[in-house]
Amino acid sequence: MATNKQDDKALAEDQAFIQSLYDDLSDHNGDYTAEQPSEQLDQSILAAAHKAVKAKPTLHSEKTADGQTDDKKQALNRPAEKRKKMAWYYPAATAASFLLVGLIVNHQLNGPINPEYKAPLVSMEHVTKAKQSESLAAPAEMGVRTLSDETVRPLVAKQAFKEEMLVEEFDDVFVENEPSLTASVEVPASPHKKGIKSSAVQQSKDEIASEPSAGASPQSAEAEFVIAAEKETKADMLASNDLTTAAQEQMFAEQAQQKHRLAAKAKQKASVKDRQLSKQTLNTPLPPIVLSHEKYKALQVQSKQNTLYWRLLQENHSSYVIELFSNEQIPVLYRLNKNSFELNKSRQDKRQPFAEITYIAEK
Amino acid sequence: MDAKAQGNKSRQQLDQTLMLAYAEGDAAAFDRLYSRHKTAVYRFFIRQNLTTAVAEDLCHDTWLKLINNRAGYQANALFTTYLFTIARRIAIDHAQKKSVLLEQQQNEENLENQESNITQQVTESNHDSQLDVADNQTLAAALKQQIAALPYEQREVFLLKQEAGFSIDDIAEITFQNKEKVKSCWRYALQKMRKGLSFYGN
Repeated sequence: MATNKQDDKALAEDQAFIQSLYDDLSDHNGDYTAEQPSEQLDQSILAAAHKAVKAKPTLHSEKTADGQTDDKKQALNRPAEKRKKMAWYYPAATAASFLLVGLIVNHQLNGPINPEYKAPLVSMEHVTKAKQSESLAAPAEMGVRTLSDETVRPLVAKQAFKEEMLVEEFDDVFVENEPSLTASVEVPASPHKKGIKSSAVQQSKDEIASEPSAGASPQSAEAEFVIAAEKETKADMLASNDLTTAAQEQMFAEQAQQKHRLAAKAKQKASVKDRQLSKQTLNTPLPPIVLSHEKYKALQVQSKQNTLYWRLLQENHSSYVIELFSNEQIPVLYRLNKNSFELNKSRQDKRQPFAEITYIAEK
Repeated sequence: MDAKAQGNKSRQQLDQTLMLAYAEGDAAAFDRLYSRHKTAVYRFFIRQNLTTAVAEDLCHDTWLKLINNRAGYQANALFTTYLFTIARRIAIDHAQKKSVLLEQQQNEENLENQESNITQQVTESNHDSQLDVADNQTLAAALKQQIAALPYEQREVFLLKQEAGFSIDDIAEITFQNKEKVKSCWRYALQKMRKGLSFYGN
């Protein structure tokens, strides 16, 4: 308590001392207490104050008691008509856009956009080409061992040419002819192989045999025999070396041939399938087949087992063109020579049994 | 004492009335307000160890802020408290911008040198009894220098208490500080001032 009193006393003394100094200064020296801001500062501040009063809305955003800024106040002070417009405009626009989207979706789901549109028919050429490409690609995909082109090309150039020629020929041949194709391709290979082997052996033997005759003279018959045996074995070895390389070449050639054969087969299959497909799907009329006597007999036998019917399609001065129906087959057109066949056309029905066709030459 | 307190109260009420009138659009009320408080604000800044130009700039900013925020003024606070709160904030902003604290250290060193020179001058002038005016000028200069040499918080409290006439409570409100802290600042400031100006007491 005593220290507090002392402190307060000291504080009061200090305060009194400073105050006395200030009093002295105010009495004798007016500069210290009479310091004033400049006139220019006064004018600028007063001008700013008057300007602020004249321009009623302040530059800074003034907050109201509710804490709303001027912008919100302005928004609230909008005309009532405008606010009403805003009130119904946005929901209406949203509803309209939803309705539009719904209509578009419904329209697209119910029917095609253009009902008159017809999808383009795929021609059989495209189908055939696609099948061919698939079948040609098949051997490689199935893991058939193939050789690189660089290895095979020089060896099988001639064979490839021959096979290409064969493939062209086989384009119009059915699958049933496959064995004959294989045989015809394999035939030239074996004599060629034999020819290579025999010529190589003969050549090497001749070379070896010619070597010693120019050099040393034989000392005894036994020695000559030994030397001759050695030479022969040497020649055989050389020939066998030649043969191994020739055999390898031949093997490569055969492999290449096999590859080409597979390709040719695939191509043939594709063409046959294409034909069958075209017969079934497109139903293109084939030209009438001239009915021979043998075929007539066969059809007669067939008509006894399963009834065959025919219909006259065309008649001219020398022949008839009839359409022959069987149970499950497509009707076939036949051309009948008037000199050989006679048709009973008395029946009213369009379709008549095969018995109504008679072979005149038989009579 | 009662008369003085009543006088202060009436002055404060007048300030509030003038400020409210200005907020409602009476420009003349601001003229009266400004003329009543311009010196105190200016001296608050000029004693902060600032040049005249800087002090005037800060004065301008203070009054402009008052003008712009006139609508936010509420009569429950004293006008002078409100005004000096703005002034203090601006002074602090300026101090932060210019890193016045660094300058202060340099100035304190300079002041020590100047103080010793002044003491010598005063000693010499005391021998000449005819130079009273010169004595007062040196006293004014010494007072300014002593104020400038105070730490920022003590100087602030000293200026608000001694020169602007605020009570400890008002200063605590203006500076947003504890009342006891303001009181201790005031005490230390007085001690330093008396120590520095002890020569003039004789």
